[in-house]
Amino acid sequence: MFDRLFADYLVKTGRLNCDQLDRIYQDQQKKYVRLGVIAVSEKLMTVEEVEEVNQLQALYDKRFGDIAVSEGYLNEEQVSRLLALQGNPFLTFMQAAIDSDIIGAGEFDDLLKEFQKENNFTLMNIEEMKSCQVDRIVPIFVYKEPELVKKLCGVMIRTVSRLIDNHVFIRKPYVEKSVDFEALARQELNGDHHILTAIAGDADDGMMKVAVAFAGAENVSDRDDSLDALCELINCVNGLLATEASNDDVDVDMDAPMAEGNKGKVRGENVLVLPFVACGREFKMLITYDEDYEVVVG
Amino acid sequence: MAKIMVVDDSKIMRKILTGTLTDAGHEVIKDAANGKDALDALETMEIKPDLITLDITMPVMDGIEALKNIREKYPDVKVVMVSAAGQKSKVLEALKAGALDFLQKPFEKEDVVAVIGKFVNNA
Ligand SMILES: [Mg+2]
Repeated sequence: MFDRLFADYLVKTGRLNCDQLDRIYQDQQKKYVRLGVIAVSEKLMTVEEVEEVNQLQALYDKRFGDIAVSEGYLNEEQVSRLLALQGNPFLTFMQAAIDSDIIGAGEFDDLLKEFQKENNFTLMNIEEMKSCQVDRIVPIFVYKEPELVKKLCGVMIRTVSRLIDNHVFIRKPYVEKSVDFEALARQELNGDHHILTAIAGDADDGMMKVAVAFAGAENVSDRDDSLDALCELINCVNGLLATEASNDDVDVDMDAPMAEGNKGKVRGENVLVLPFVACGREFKMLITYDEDYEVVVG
Repeated sequence: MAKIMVVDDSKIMRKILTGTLTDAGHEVIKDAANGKDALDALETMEIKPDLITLDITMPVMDGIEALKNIREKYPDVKVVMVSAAGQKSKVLEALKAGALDFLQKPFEKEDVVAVIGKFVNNA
């Protein structure tokens, strides 16, 4: 997730063009990050120490981790943690960008610092984001909201990542009194809380792409089908939330989802908007919590 | 092979279930978009389904109410719930009302086939 988020930033700031990004993405799929690169990124070893271990590796036919342990640079536990990180998408992205000479190794770090500064993230936030784990990234963006709303956002992005696009990423959430939509899939939750969960679809083929990923091309033939798939996605997400909540004795009950195929607005005192990018398109997840809202069409 | 009826308010979900069950060799003889439509259809069907997959969250009449009606009027028809609403209370209520099993959405297609197969192969 963070690889795509950071790439989005690099394109927006003009550091990367779309061709370069495509090249990096293609290269990224083939990457298996070298342990030394991860050890430096995790600040467990210096570049010099890694080079020393690389030289020893060339001399003896031993694995990087084994030599780093015998030289006292890493312990066994750190090696297994680094091994677990080898498939990490952010690290493969970084290595692909560096190896294809599109971004220099030193520059990469500077760009990451700029990204951090411009978005007011803490160093800790960046470290969490590097994990590329949805459950660790969503709370960095959604933290002011009530517990159930935070959970809802987490379940939504996790479900989109699992069922629709494992490269999904989110943008900063914001609160509005009125949000325009081209099409809307929504579901109301009742019980201990009154929540609206909705996804605002787009005017072009973005909804269709998501629907095809969710339901299979053979099941999606038109815009109504796409919207129906978005409704069912929300239904699945809310169902998972309701199930989780029931284990904590919080009562969440779902109304049948509703589709709105025409343009309109969602109005309320506090409509939380969490933009997410899936299948290359931005969607808005809309949430209102314990308050009245209205959906106005036309 | 069994005769199956698929009940779900989502057209996409009805298509997915129908495709999955048909690929597994079953025959989907009818589908319905809510509990009331399902009951109306059952009334007029000459050959009743062996099994119904039943969603819970639907407009007009939800799956729990439909389940109670189906069990009362057609005790020979088996029902498996296929629903996103996996709250403990819902699952218990459905099983108590006579559903044979409860599959939570989003499901794996193989799980649907396996669960349905448990109840119709020896039918
Ligand atoms: Mg439903």
